[in-house]
Amino acid sequence: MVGYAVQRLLGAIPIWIAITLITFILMNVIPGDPVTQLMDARGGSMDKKVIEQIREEWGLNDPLPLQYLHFIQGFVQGDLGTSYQTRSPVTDLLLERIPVTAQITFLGLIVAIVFGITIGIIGALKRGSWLDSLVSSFSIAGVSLPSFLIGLILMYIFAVKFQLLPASGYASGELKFLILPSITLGLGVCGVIARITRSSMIDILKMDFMTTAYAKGISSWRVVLLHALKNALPPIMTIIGVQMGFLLSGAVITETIFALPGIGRLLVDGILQRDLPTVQGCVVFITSVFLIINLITDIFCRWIDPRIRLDT
Amino acid sequence: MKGKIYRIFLVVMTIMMILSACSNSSSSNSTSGGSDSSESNTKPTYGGKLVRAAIYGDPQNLDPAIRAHGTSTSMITWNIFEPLIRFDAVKGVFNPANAESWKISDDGLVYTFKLRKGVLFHNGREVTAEDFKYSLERVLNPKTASPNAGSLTIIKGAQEFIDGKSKEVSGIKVIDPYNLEITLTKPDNTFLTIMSLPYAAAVPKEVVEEKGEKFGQEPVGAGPFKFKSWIRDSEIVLEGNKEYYGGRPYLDEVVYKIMTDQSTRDNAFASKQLDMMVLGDAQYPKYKNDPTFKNQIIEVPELFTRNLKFNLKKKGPWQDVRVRQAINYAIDRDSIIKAVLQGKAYPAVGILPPTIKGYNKNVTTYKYNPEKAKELLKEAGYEDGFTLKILTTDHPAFGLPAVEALSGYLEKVGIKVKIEQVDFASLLDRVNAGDFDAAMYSNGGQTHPVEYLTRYFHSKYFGASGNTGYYKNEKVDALLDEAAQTTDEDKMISLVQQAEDLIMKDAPWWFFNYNKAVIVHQPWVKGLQPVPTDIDYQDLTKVWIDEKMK
Repeated sequence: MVGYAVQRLLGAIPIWIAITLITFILMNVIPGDPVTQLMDARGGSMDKKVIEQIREEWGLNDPLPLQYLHFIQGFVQGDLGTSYQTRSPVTDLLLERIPVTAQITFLGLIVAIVFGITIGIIGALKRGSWLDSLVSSFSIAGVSLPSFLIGLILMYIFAVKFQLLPASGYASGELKFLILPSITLGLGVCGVIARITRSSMIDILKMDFMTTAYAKGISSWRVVLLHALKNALPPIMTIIGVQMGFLLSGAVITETIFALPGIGRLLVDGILQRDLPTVQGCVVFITSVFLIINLITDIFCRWIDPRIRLDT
Repeated sequence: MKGKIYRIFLVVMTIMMILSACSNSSSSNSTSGGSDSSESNTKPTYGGKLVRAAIYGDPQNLDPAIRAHGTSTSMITWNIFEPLIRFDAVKGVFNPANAESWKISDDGLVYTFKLRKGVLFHNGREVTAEDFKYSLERVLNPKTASPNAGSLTIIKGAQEFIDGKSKEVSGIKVIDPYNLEITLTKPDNTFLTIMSLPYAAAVPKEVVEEKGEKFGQEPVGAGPFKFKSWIRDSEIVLEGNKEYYGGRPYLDEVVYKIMTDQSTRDNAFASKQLDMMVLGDAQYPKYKNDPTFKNQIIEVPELFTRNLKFNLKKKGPWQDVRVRQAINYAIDRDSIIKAVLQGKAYPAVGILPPTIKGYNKNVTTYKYNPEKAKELLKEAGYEDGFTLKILTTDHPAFGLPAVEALSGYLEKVGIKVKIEQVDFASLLDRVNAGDFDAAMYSNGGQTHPVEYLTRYFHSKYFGASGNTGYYKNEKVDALLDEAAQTTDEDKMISLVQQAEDLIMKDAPWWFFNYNKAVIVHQPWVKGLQPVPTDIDYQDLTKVWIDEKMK
């Protein structure tokens, strides 16, 4: 297992290099000079000489391969460079933002798993009933409604109408700011988990060992949770792993709507302001998270179902 | 049967959601006719917190030398740092600040500032003339990579210092701790404006050196508010400076909530999380037509002129002045402002907005006249029209919606429009590089009419420096140069108006509108003013919270 994990992580190096190289090329291909972005978006002007001096200062006049090489050199030494816009080390910026994104992603995942699996089980047990149709409708709505719309509806109901929760903002350690964003994020993924749970549970419930379990006189909820759900878990876990990527991308929109200082917003701001070091830092981080989550998902599935061979 | 029940349930749920969304959110907000603070009869009281929206995003860095002077940064840094003088944009006068007085030599070259005694940085040290010399040289130092360096090259010896030919700027002289003398390369009556901006304020050398790159994240100045905390992309908190030389501000705390999303701001304002916010075009009618909020709105023609600029460096029909005039006659700007911008703008009579010195309502202007437009096009040899490529962004006020609207008018006189939409960074880049035929843009922010016109129409500022349309008229250059150097204000205004009239006749832009800046505030916020430079640049030392109204 350890050997497998190390092998997978080593295999990720070319992916990291490819992703950073693609990002670097894209950021240099799209129009937009990072120096002129220092101007305010409401108009303004900068002296040509000053622009040239700043470009020189930031090494933007070096040939592109050399610029990329400098980035890789820094990256190997654990230095992701300095943001053009904030003039702070990118590593510091990431460390500031990671907790926020981690919190809403984790809470969003909890919301998605708890709700998704629960209603998926209900759908499977009451298959063909109006309750099952309701679960299916909810799943479709969750998948198809854009997260900004879900966010704004929740904000309107809980913050404006009933004033139970803050409409937006963030304060470290205060859960109330994270409730609405987490639900917004979770509901989008919840539908997918519910649908997979439902179909996976239906397959398992038809199996002979389920009849045996019932015949033994085990209580219904134990049969469902311990026998059926455990066997239905591998496809659900795989989809949860895949959905983590969507949670991370959904965090970009959710963070914007709820004015949360997370990685998503840092990345968007970085792209809009052509702040290459910041964009590269975010991309490296998100890629790493994605690869590690996939690895964990594979290992977990292997642990829960020994029939799955990881090394093939 | 079950299917029927399910369908009925779904219909009921849908109707409930629609009704909930359509109900009037402001009904829970009814307050007894909030009034503009200027009409308030009550005495200002100390204490309280003002929560305001920062709609242009996270300022990234609060070091005034590092960021260009612009709304997202200056609305905060002007409270943390204290320049030598401050400009009261509402009254149009310069007021003493860190300098209690100043003298200008007869030849307009030497400015002597007499500093106030006892002005303290937030770390407790007194501000001296040496601090101003250090701060101005820091902006000019290429190592700082300051976008504001260009503005200070008017100081004698600045260019030599930038080029590394001298160790200090010869034109900045410390006479004694309380007297600072600045010599210019040539007379320039926009210099006082420059000295009133945040990047010309003093920063404490010892703190800058101690904090290094972190200074911009934890700034220390001598202004009326101290920096307290910053949650990136979320909020910045300032606290009232009890040692401020002008007396402690009424407010204990000012919180800037960074909210770029309009719906988020609406919800936060409705749930009273926000005390004040600047309104966007789409939001404007909602608040303007609301019986409660309409009394809690402040409007002002802001110093920004929205325009469609023609690239006169590029060959094309727009090189002919008659074509540019025709375009100005062909478009009904008033209707576009009414229909597309929901009335949240003032039609541009000329270039200078009504809130700047030198505004001339009798300047040569263009009223909607499609027949005259056709006539001019025929004269110019474009009776069958031509295709005009317009570069734009999705900006709601000077972007795609307006371009689509004006396209209709141009098509009526035979000009086909090809729209190219890009993001703002690309627009900035391409306009600065001269890679466009015509571009929809917003220019302004300068408080001095000479600077306003010079920046965008003087040939010395070709390209990224400001004159991105490469407009050149030697008469205009000469008039503006003379206006910059005269010490007689009436003469300066007359020269500016002559220059503006010539530019209007040349029509290097389609003159669209001046931004109508609007603030909506809760009834308990007092002391807000219609600041024309940028309505976000409120003098927060005058703002207070009436707790009784909460």
